[in-house]
Amino acid sequence: MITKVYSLFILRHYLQSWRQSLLTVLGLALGISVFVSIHLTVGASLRSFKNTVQAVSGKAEWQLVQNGREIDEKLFPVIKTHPVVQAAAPVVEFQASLYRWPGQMIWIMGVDFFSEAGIRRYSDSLSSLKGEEFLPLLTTPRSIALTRIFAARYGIKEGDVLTILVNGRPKKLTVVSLMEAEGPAQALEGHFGLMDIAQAQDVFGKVGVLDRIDLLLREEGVEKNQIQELKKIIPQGVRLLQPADREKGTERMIRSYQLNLTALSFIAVLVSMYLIYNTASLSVVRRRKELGILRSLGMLPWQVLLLVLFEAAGYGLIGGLIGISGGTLLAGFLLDTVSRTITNLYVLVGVRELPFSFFEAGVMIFLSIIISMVSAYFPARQAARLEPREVIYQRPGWIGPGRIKNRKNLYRGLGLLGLAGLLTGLPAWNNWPVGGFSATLALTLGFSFLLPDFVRGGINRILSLGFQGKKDLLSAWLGVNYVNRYLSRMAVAMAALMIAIAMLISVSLMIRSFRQAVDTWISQSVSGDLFVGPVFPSNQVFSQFLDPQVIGEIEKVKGISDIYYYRGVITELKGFPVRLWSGDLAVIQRHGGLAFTRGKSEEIFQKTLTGEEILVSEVLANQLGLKPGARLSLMTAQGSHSFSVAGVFYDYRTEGGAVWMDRHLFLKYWKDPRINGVRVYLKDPARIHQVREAIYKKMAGRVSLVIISNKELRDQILNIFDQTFQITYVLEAIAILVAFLGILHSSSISVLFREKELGILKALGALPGQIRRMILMETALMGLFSFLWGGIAGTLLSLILIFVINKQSFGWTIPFHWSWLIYLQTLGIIVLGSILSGWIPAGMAVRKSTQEMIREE
Amino acid sequence: MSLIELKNVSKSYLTEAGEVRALQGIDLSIDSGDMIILSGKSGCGKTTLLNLIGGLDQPSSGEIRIGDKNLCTLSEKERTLFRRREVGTIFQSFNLIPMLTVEENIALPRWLDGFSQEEARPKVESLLQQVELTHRRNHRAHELSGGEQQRVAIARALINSPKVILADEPTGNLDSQTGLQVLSVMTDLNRKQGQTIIIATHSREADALANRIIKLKDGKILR
Repeated sequence: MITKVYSLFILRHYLQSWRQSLLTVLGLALGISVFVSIHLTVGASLRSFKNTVQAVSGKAEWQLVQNGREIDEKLFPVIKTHPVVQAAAPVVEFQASLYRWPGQMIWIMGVDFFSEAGIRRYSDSLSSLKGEEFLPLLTTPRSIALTRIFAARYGIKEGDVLTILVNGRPKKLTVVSLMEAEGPAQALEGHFGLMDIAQAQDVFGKVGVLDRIDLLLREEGVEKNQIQELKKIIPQGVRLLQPADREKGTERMIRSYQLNLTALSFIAVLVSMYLIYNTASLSVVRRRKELGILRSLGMLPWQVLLLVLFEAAGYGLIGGLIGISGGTLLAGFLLDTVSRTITNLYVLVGVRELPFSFFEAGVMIFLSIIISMVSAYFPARQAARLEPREVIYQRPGWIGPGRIKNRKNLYRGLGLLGLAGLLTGLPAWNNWPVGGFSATLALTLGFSFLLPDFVRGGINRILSLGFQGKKDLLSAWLGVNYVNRYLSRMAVAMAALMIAIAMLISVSLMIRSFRQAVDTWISQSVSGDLFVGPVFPSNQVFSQFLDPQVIGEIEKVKGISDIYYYRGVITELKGFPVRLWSGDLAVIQRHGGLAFTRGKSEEIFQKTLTGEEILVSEVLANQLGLKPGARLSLMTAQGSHSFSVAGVFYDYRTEGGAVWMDRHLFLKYWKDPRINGVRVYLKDPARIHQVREAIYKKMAGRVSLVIISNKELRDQILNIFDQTFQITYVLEAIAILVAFLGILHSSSISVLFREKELGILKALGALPGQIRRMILMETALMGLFSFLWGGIAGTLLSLILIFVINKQSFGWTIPFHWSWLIYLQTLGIIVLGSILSGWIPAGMAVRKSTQEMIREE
Repeated sequence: MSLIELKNVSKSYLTEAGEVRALQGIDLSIDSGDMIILSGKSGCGKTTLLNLIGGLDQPSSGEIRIGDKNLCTLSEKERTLFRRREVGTIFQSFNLIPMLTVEENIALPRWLDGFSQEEARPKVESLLQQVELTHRRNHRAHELSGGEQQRVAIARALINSPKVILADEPTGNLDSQTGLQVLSVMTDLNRKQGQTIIIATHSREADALANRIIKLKDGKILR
């Protein structure tokens, strides 16, 4: 019947202290909701990406691709008729901008419907080769099948014309069929179009070539290792890969992004764990006598332990349920930001809906319960160890002498700081900054343990200012004294706020330093007055090309001193996608060059212009341990080739690393003269608007070009940067909010604990205003000390974030950039928030009748 | 054989001021059905002695036997179960659980011992009648008078049919009239049911009710 005892004690305690219970549940719910929202949003993007890969690959187990360029279509019949091949399907694909809806994309796949059977399954209307609705795609010139979702989203009907931009030129396609969301039509949440391959080749300028060939091999062929036979007939540079392998690198990078956001979202959970710890320990202190009576009546220590743990589990259950609902709501707001960031950084994802699974919800609730129970474990153990005799004969709310424990805390704190220092020296494990994350945790805990000593020292200093006895400062003096006396009860809430502040300051410093580094890098390394191309320089740039005729016309525009022609391809290096850029590096050298980590710029450029030497970004060099002079094997269109590294340059654009090579090398190994865009250098930069207008005028009505100035590009890059980090501020704000709930909770409990003392003060003539000021002074002091300590911790944490975690996760060098503004802004928020958090407890103390407060038991 | 045997029991506490010897060389035997009054001034060791007999504390030296159990050799768990099943304790400040009703407070030790609500109910009913609080069964502690609260504490002490009832200043927080009523309940228990009761008190009114008075001074029994 112990369950009866548990349910009675737990439920009645919730009801009795409903305000505290509500605050605790709310705090945990906020923490969980942040965690859930990140899980849902990044998870949805990841799922969308994987679904897209799977949907467009169909049953294909293998794919033939050529790195950085297309395959000659003559290869297809050779492959299709090979004995080991069961089915083969040629594919042409294109990521096109929608002419009428700027910024919106559609992914179009051109397929040979006669080869598709056995590889991909489309909606019922397109599954049969004899289907009537299938024929129009073959018979109608420039026709496309869209998904019903896409059509509904943009109000398109069968028979309408959809205009897309291909290499800057508008192309009109007739919509002849609408597909259900099955098979490939599930890709990118319906932003998918299907065309006949011949038409697609014509529209996308890919006549005679294929982007890939999807294959299904005969089982016996695979078993007999006839793949080797197949490889023999594949031309040099063409590779036989499994679809999943092609996307592993991208998936890994999205997962890494998820991990970092999850780590950040865990701050709010950590802060809410402090809140639960605080609630449980204050509840144990407050109910010492009750627990002592239970022990004296025969409740076993482990039963007391479970009582406290179950109480915390209740918070976990309710907090988890609310957290999941709140998290889903928050995820709705964050979804667009997260998917846009993933699209900007890694790969196009189109997420419109959040997947909700009861299993995952169950796991989250379970986690929430476990988190609560873990947080309450130490107070529960303390409760279980209560000596009934001692407790029964003590006055309520008594707290044992803490001096010895404080000294222990001091040693623990210092030990943890030392450990944090050691952990920062650990190397990354599988690109995972385990040492950095552990050091962050150790440093945070270390500062938490040291907080009481710091506050005590600060208060002694304040008290030594000698405002005792000055009537105007009486409330403040009492407030300072109370914080000093009840420090052990307030310390946990202060530590929670301190952590939130430390994280806010450290992440803000890191972002500010990073932004400054990017800004400086743009000035140093991104030269050019105008950037001209079919699309904005981003991930899409690789599939869009500038028409040679257009290039010729640009060259004739007056006022141009130099033009840098660039071409980018995505190649693969040790399982990671790497961006390879090529161009006339002499032009770059003439106009400011690049910022190299070491070596003389002139010598480095000279090597790349004359020899078979390349430049690698700092990120890639760190990932692969490359130094100037090292050799790097790249998969070219001619097969793998080893290049020498001439220099390592700073680059903050791409997360996976980048390789730069001179155009002469690219042409030699890729034999592809197409270019994605140009940088234009003007004789007189002041004439930028005139030159831009001149180019626009030449292209009017024929080609839609994106022409942006250096300043606009800088603004766009910084805009994307700010967008990327927007979410971190949301997460931080919630962590701060949870911490304020902790202050509110602690302050309310502290008012309840010393109700009698406050009653006596009122009985002695303290005015409501004086009582209110005293309590507000307490919460303001809690906020101030948390800020001061959190400021120091945050500054140290920012160093770990910048020099350990960032370096190990991404490999960027970010010079530390100090900013007082961050501290001032945070101080303002914290002091204001702390005073507001004290308002409710102050009201409680003022409103309650004096008689009731001083009533004897 | 005596129900309770204490042999050369001493208890000392370490405080910041030094060692305090609360009990020194106590030899005592109490038979089943005895009603004992422990008397003496404040700080003479009455509560310490009760705590030792009730298994709430352990002696610094000596031996305490209750029935066939040597309290000094019991583990923490066994001492807890001993307190649950074999003693009933009544405190000066009642020590009821404020958030529970009268009925729930009485049933609590029974529930802790694994009885269901239904199984515990007859005993609770009988005790409510015995302490005349049937009409207050659904009230919380703060809604009761001091005497009523102490009667609830008595009922709670009896719920698991303990071998001995220990009462520490049970009338200390009550007016004399109510105190007498509470003592009368305990006398009835002793006389009608043969319940062994040890009361620590400095109230002279209780002396007349006891069949033995043990006087303590400075931690020793006065002979």
